[in-house]
Amino acid sequence: MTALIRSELLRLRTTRATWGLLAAALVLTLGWEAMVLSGIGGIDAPARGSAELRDALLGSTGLGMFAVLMLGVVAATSEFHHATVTSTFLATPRRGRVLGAKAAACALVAPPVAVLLLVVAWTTGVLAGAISMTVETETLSVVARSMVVAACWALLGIGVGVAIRNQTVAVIVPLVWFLVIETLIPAYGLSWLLPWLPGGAMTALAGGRYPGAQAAWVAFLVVMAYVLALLVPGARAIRRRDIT
Amino acid sequence: MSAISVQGLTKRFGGVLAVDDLSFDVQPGTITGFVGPNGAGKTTTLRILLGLVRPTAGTALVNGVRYASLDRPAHHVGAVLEASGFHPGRSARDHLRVLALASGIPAARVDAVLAEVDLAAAARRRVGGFSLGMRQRLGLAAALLGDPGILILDEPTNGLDPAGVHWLRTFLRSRVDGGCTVLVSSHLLAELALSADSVVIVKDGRLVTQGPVAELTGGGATVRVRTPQAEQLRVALTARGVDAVLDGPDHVVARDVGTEVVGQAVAQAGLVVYEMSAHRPALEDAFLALTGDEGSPS
Repeated sequence: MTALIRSELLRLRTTRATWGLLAAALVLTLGWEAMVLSGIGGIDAPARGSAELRDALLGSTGLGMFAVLMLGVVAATSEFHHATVTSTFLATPRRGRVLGAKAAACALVAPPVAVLLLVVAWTTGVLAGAISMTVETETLSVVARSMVVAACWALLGIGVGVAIRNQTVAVIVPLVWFLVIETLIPAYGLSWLLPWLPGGAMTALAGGRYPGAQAAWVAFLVVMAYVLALLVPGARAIRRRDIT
Repeated sequence: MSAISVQGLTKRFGGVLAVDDLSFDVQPGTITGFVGPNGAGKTTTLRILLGLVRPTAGTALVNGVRYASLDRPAHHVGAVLEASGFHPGRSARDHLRVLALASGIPAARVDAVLAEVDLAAAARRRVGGFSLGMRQRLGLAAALLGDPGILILDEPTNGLDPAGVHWLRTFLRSRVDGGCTVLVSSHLLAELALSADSVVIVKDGRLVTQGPVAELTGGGATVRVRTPQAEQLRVALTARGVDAVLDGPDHVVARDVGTEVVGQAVAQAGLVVYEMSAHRPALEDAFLALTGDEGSPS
């Protein structure tokens, strides 16, 4: 299994999509951070040097997590998209193990990406003179939490990719879900549903506060339930599928 | 034990019966051609054999076991399949490194197989820019990674130029001489006749016949001689018990005989010969006769 995971890690490393998504994650994070920084001094904006501003700046990495989600989606669907699945399943006929190795590889890659994004966001904030250079305990706990969140986003991406299989559809569906459907939920008076939806649970897991938000561990279980609900039937279908 | 054993294999895709109660064996150390018109079920059979497609009924075994139950099958069976893709952005070398890692094969082997298929110079180029022939070679390199005793190739000559086909034929023969077993499918029979030891002929998912190439083509060659002394040669050959007839004023056609016998007859009778050629009945003809397929695009 270790060899399989290493193989999947190499696969990720030698795909340009991976590096493109990493670049996208950096651009999204820095773009959001620029907005937060430019808002300093405005009404309701957190003050320079405050803990709120630090959290807001580190929170810029949240948008970059979409790229991590897509990393999982692409990792799961690329083999069908490029028909490499034939040679992959020839090398490893136990298809469940291949999917497991893919999930493990993505979950291993995601936390360092989160750390990188946080370091970039924090450094930018320090260089902009918005936060002090001292690393507080809270900052470290944000880092630890973000690593778990990133791994969860990657696994969710794998789940979506395995369940949908068609790469284009698997990329579009989560974007529509998280950016449109879940954002519209409160407008329809369904806010009570939010803690039980994947995006809402992920926000709670990341430490985001909103009415009804679950404790982090409950949110983690909710996210994992979604991952399994997508992954298990998807994996079963792939295991039975004729690769023609 | 047969290297490959297919017993009562049946596969139904929806309403289409792709493979229909097919049985055949491949003996170790031989090249076996797996031939039939397009749509005969060759690819489906090979994919079942490789655990990629589930049979509706029957068994397909390599070295006596199911492919899927082989641990690290790359060490036992290497396969080159049509429509097995490559990620266009990955280099040839990286493509093989990914597969090698998954099969626990050392990275040094990657460069060795790239050299073996003459792709060493293109190893670091992205596969997206490869020609069809180069992709076929890369597919073959992947199949060779585990140095398997059995090679299974599905239409491997597609996209190869004549030099490439010749190279592949020589390559497969050298593998078999080294103890390897090869099962190669093709809808083009002429190119197989030159390399295969035996053939399995299928049509509409069913076995038509199986046997050594020589048996199917009826053995001996036909020798055609151009000589100004045609009648004398015919008499000389007939005297040796050879079935010889005149074909026009200056041609003699001798059936079921080698050029050696004809040459000796010529020398003994002291005749002049301008031209002599031997024709082996083409596997193509035997195939068309057996399948009743007049080469219509099916």
